[in-house]
Amino acid sequence: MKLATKLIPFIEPPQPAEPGEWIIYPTTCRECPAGCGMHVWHHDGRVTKAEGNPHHPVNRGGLCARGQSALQGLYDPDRLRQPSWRVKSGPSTPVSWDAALAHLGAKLGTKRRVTVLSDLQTGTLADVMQQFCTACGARPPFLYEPFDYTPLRTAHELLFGLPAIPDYRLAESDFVLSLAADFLESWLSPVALAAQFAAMHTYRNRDLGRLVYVGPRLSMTAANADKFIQLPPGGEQHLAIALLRSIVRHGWVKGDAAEFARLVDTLAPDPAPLPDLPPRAIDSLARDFMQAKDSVALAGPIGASGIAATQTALAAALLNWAAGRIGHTVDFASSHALGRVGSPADLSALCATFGPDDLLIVHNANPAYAAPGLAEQIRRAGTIVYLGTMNDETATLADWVLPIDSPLESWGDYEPVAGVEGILQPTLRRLHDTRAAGDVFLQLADASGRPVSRPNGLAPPDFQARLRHRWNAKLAQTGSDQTSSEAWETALRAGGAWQRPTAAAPTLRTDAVERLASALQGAPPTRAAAANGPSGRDYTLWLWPSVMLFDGRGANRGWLQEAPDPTTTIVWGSWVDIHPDTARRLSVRDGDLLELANDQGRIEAPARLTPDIGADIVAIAFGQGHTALGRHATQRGANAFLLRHPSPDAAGFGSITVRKVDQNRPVVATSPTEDQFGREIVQWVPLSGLRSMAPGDGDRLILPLPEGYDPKRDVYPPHEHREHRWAMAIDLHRCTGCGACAVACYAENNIPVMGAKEVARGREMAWMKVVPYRDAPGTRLGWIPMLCQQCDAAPCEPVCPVFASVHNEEGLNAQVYNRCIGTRYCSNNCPYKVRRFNWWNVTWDQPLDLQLNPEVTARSRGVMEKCTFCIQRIRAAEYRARREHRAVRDGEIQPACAQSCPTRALIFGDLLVAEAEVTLLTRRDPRRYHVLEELNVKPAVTYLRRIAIDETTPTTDSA
Amino acid sequence: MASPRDIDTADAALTYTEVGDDVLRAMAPPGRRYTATMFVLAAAVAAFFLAWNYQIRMGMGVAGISHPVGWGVYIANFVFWVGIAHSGTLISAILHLVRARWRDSVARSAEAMTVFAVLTAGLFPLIHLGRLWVVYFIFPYPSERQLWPNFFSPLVWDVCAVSTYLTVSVIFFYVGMIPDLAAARDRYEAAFGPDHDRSRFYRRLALGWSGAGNQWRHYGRAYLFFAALATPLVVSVHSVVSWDFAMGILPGWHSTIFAPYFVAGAIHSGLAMVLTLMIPMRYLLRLDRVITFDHFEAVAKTILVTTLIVGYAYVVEPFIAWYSGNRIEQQFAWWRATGWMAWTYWALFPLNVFIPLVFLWRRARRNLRTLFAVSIFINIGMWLERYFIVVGSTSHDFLPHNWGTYAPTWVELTITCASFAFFLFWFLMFAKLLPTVAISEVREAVGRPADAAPSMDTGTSAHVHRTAAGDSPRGLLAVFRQPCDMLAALRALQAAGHTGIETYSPTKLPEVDRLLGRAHGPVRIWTLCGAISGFLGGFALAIGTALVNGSIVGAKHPVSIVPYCVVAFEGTILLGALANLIGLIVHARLGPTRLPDCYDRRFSRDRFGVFVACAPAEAGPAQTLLHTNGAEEVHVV
Repeated sequence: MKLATKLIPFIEPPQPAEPGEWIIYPTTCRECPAGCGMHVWHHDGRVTKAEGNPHHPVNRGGLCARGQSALQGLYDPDRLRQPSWRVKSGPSTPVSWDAALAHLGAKLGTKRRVTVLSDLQTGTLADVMQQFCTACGARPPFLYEPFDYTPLRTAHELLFGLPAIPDYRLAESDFVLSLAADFLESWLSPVALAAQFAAMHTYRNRDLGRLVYVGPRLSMTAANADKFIQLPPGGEQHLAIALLRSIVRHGWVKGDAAEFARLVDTLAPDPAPLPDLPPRAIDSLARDFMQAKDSVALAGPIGASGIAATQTALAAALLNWAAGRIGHTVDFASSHALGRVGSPADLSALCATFGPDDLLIVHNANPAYAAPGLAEQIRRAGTIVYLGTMNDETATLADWVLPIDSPLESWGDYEPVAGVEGILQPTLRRLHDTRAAGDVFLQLADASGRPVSRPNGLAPPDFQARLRHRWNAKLAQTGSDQTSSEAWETALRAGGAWQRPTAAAPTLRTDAVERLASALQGAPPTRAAAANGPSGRDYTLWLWPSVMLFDGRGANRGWLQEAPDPTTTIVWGSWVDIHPDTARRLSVRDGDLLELANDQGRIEAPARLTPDIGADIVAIAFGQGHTALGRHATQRGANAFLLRHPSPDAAGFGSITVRKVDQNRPVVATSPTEDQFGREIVQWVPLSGLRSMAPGDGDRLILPLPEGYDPKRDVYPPHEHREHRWAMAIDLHRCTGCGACAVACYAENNIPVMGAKEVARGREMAWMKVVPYRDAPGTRLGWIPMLCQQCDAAPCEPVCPVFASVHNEEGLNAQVYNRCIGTRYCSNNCPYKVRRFNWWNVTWDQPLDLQLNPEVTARSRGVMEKCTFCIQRIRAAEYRARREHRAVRDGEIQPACAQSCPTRALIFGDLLVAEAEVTLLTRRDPRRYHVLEELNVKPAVTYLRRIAIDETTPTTDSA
Repeated sequence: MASPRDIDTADAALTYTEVGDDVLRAMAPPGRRYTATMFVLAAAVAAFFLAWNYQIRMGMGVAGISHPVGWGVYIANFVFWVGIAHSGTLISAILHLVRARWRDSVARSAEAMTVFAVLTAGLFPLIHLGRLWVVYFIFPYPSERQLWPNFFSPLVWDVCAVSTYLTVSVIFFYVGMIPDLAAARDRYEAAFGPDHDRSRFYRRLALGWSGAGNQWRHYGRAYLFFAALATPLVVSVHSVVSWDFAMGILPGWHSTIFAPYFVAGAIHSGLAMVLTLMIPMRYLLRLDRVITFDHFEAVAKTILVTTLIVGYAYVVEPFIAWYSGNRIEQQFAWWRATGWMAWTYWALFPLNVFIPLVFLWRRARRNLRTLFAVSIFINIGMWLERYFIVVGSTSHDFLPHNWGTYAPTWVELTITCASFAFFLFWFLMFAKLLPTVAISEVREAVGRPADAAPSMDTGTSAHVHRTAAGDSPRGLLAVFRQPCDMLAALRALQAAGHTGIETYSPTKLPEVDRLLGRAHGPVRIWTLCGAISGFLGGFALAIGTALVNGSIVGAKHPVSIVPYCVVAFEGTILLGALANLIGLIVHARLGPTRLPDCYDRRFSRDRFGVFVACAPAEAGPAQTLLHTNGAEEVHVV
């Protein structure tokens, strides 16, 4: 029996699983506070793929790389598997749940001071924690996130009396001003904002929305901007103030101009000059912002706090107010859950009180890593109980480690934006001896003899039942005629319930000026912030979270470590961006190891010389440098949180000393260069040129169809595809470079993670890469998702001696793994170099192997592998269509990459269907082109050029 | 080593006997130094296979190849060794056809070099395979799944070309050696008796060669056809190897000059390797009298020709890149000269072009040290050229984000270095075991005894010996010292109306066929039939495969005649050569090791024989006839 259960998972499958069939569980992503809807693919007792829920109002089907990596979080080989206990700093000893609960219950019963520190939670779990705290006589749970948005919340509190973070409706605007807010990568809700940005940035009615980015570093968001204004840290604040003053001067305010002028004066009595930007440019930018049909200003940078960051947030809020956007593109009715997160100052105050009599329960948060300055104070707490999934830095501080379910194993609910309530449901049976966090709180309360009060006195005791109870009550209010269980089923299938709340737009507080004045008391003059910083150190620090690693919680996931950073293609480590001029002064060369130090701490990381960062600024990303967490994360790179000041008085992140400590310790990057060498791989079309083009104008492409045959070019006669000719169109203008597609490809196609050493030798296995290239001046980045082009005249095919590489009847360039003998000729001969060779026999650390997609063939060492547009999905759709006696519908098949794309940049379909979207784009879109068209390989992937705003358009004549 | 002075006159006094003795003496049992060297080489060969085994077990990751450089030193070694293999057959076949007699002294070693170099080269495509254990997928064998190899692929052409080349080279090498093996057989039988191991060994290998006029007749024709088949093969094999690259789409590879460029380069390196091997071998095996400075000079002159062709190709490549107007080609040409591989690029010009140009001076062509040094430089230069071509284009192709670098690992370096040991192991084995110089052909070259030295009286009077006691005599066997006497006797016998005449000679005497009125013989029919069936079979195999598989690759129609011409060509050569061999074996009656009763061991050394079948009654006049025409001995057999 035991052997059989090992060989065949679920001989008696749990309902409603059918052996060999896929089930899709809708749930909610908890990899960051954005709360996207997820569809998790389940097969024979295990989940293999996380996708965006197409019906979820936050992400509309897209899902970022981090969200997809939730699976690797679930299957992480370094996950906590059983409760353990340790004497302070001693070795840990496994204990049983019963023993742990009994012991801790007794401790709770002795009237110790209890504190709950949790990551951002809403809904049932937040209620349970609140009730637990009430029962224990503790203060309310402290909701902690490494990236809090306190400056935004404070600014809105001061101006509108609303301590909230609004929903920014980018899709409805046509002009976005980002003050160092990297909203495509990490700011607030990146997938939602990326989709909205793509919508507003789409070319329609002969125009498109504009994004202007102000900041010191060419981030992914900055590179996607139509205009990138590079200013030193704090520059975004000065520019915003200059814009406010320009608006005041020109009387463009849509509202009470006098009050606005007073506010601006209070905010910046002594504005700093902007030497790099002529006043005319500022006026022009202000005019664009004010005269746009609907514009919005976003305040960053994420991770910054303190009074200077608040000033930026205030400036942005005032810009939005002056332009009359409050209530339109800045929607306080749909406020974000992040508004509930505690501020760093409050956290410091909380931690300062810890003593031997404290019992601290940390749930799913890692302050010891993200606020390393507080680790010592946290350690002072008499008993620390850690509830989490990973043995992270905070877990290593704890006395009791209680492993909880992964979000993919849990029931729960989360409301990222007011009105959007997502449900979490278990997508598979628990892997380890873990419990739901909510149940742990309830059981702890029971064990302490002070059970959590039951609503109505009737509710059943466990967390799942409470969740149902809460939802039954909520769904009953909607007034539908469904029974409660039907309504629940409907909500569960949808992934949650949502309606758009309405509320009157907030108005400016009458005492805003006074409040502003008192809040800004003691703030340094803005002028001083522009200089080198108060302590007179040499360089300005810039910290930023990457799209892959964010705050570092996913650093132990191979997919995220091996996914290249979008702008630098660096993997598996930290690096310091430094301007070549600055580097020359320090005699630093590319790859030299630098030490960055300030009064908070010191870290070391290799230098990357680049003009993407301004002179005298050093930038480093958050997310690496763990001292615990697991095999991939521990002792890798540098922890930038060590340098973050809890409340810096200067703009940005303060100043820092830089020293060269070693030579030649290069980082690993997957692209050796971003220079195109004039080869026109990523192409831009000027907007003025595009405006004069009608559908059907543009390049005459050599299509992978019989019509692509030309006796002058071709030796061999044309050949037909009878039923389908699969093809893809990729809109580079929509592609933001986030890399979600590449990670989706890893997840779908069982692509192994090779590690830093192998990647350094060019042996990463990515079938699809999102490659950054620069335009001719080198100041602008454009990404090109490079996957197999499924060429009609594929150079890889005829060179294979054994027909392992063949053209299939539907136009795909198929690779027969079992036939491959490993000559690697096909890869040599592929002009796009999209084939990957298995250099080794790959092993997956258990239980990561449970994630493997059973519908994708395993590959042994010595075999070439490649993209086939997810042929397993094509086949599944074809079988389904045949069973239902119909043709395959356009859009029915979505390869993993296209499915995950937050901006819908990848369109897949059949070129033989005249009205298919891919056919229309390939034949009619004026921006269409093929990469390396001159080789006459007739690729089936058509790219649509990025649109460059050129001189004749209003935004850039300001420069 | 010998000084230039004594070389010019070295072969003047060489006789048949001396040629044979010099060559066969070299096959004496090895000394300690030779044995020690063989042990060292065997150890290196063991290291070769251990490293390979490690790679097979672990995966290709242990090599330095990567993405994008899918081919590294393994393929460079393959191309290099195939190139080395070229001069052997070039010297043997082409020079045989054009009657360049200087070839005879060096042809055997060069052929041996060919065979062992092809053996070595043939290992590398196997070594570089990701899944060696399914290598049989590449061969056209009938499988129940009806999966056949892809005859569009230059790699399949490689398999056809290299295996054909190996087969034809081995046959050519062996067939050319048969008379010399017979000489060795006779020498060892005379010295150690017929039951000695060495005697048995060479008796088996000699296939019953007796030097009979009839054997020489078919042998001469067959050898000519082998040469005629091998000549286009030489040119084609490295052309096919060059198409591995030229059929590729990469900048720096996709070029029509590649076939002639590779063939010239192959001959360039092959000739250099001939010098590298022959100069020490000549010294160690004391072949000074057989291999002379004239031979070296002829090799050096040929190297001059290939130097100029290779130099031309080097100049044309960047020119065409510029002239093409193709940005990627131009950037690639520039990168070759300035990128991380530039040191290789700039090393090629001195090593392969400028240094060999010293052969413009006669003194350099006749100085052993210069010859040897230049040959080493060319060997290094040509290896680097192959390395450069393989790695350069793959590491720097169309899309800059794919560019990469390459450095071989210890596994690749071990296998590369040990491949030289593998080659030398076989070559040294050959040097001690087989005649290193084509004795019979050198004998033709040095001139017949009559021309070379005056006929000397042996001091013994002519006797009639009765040998086969008991049996009734079947005929007479006359032994001659000089071929002119034998031919005179032959004429006299014919004039006297004798039939059933057979001659025996250590070398081919073309006059014999004419005198005996023998036609060219039927071997050519065999060869023609084989070639035609190979040609048709090649097309049939490729087209049949295409029809069975029906797969479309690279938008080419499954049945495409042009690429299949390569297969048909290789089929023509392969089956032509095999049929030629069968024809030779059948008509020259090779195979049984028993020799004719009348055979005398001296016939493989320096004596000529005439056998006349005659009734006892006719024996008397015939004896007289033979004696008067200068027969040393006449035997009744």
